[in-house]
Amino acid sequence: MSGANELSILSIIISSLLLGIGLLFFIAGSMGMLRFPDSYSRLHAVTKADSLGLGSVVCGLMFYSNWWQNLLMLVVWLLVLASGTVSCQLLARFCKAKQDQL
Amino acid sequence: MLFRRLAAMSVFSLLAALCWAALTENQGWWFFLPLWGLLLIWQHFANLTLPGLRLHAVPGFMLFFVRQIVLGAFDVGWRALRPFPEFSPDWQRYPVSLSEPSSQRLLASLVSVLPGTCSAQIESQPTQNQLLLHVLDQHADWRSGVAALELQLARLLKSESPAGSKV
Repeated sequence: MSGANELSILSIIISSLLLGIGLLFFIAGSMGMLRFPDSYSRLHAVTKADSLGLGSVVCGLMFYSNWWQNLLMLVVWLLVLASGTVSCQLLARFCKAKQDQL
Repeated sequence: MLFRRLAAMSVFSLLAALCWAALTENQGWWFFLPLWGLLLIWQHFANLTLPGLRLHAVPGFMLFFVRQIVLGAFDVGWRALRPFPEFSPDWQRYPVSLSEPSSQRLLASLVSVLPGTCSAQIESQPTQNQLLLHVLDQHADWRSGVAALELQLARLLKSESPAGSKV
């Protein structure tokens, strides 16, 4: 694993930018959880903003890791993306069924 | 039929084992074994198979999908952070042209990363199944995004023709 001191200035800037963008999307997702009007709309916020946020953080961390760690982070991102989309659908279905019962 | 099921089980098992080995650094196989059993039971009863792909359509699909993830996140992020957010959420129905149930399930899952849409259910209809979607803005043009994703899936999956009807 290469250290941060071995990176060029440009790599550090790009990596910091990607980590910052990822953080911004996580904040946006959390704000959406607080500000969106109903449960279904909040699901949108969590699924979409956090997926891109994690992807951006993974891209930012790739500058500090070797190829194997990069591959693992990509696998983790893909698994989180897959579980996010499926669980969003299942939660929406569950909420809708509960709502229809009332 | 039996051969296809065994082949699907083997591929699922191999993928699960590879993911486990990679993510745990080749540890905890005693914990993996019961999970593997559960995975096989689920795969058997849900009749899950891996879809055949048209390889030449994979790069185009990936580019489209990444673009939609970025657009979807920007859309929802802007709605969350803008000073006076406006919402007009509603339930909408979208008739699915994809013929295979597995393709329809994949569409229903992937729709959740498109800008402003989130699927809740696939409704069975006598003529054409429908997706029940929750949309953040009912006045926005969400249909073109879902139609574009459907077209990309029809191009990608071997069980579908590019027009969306069964081969």
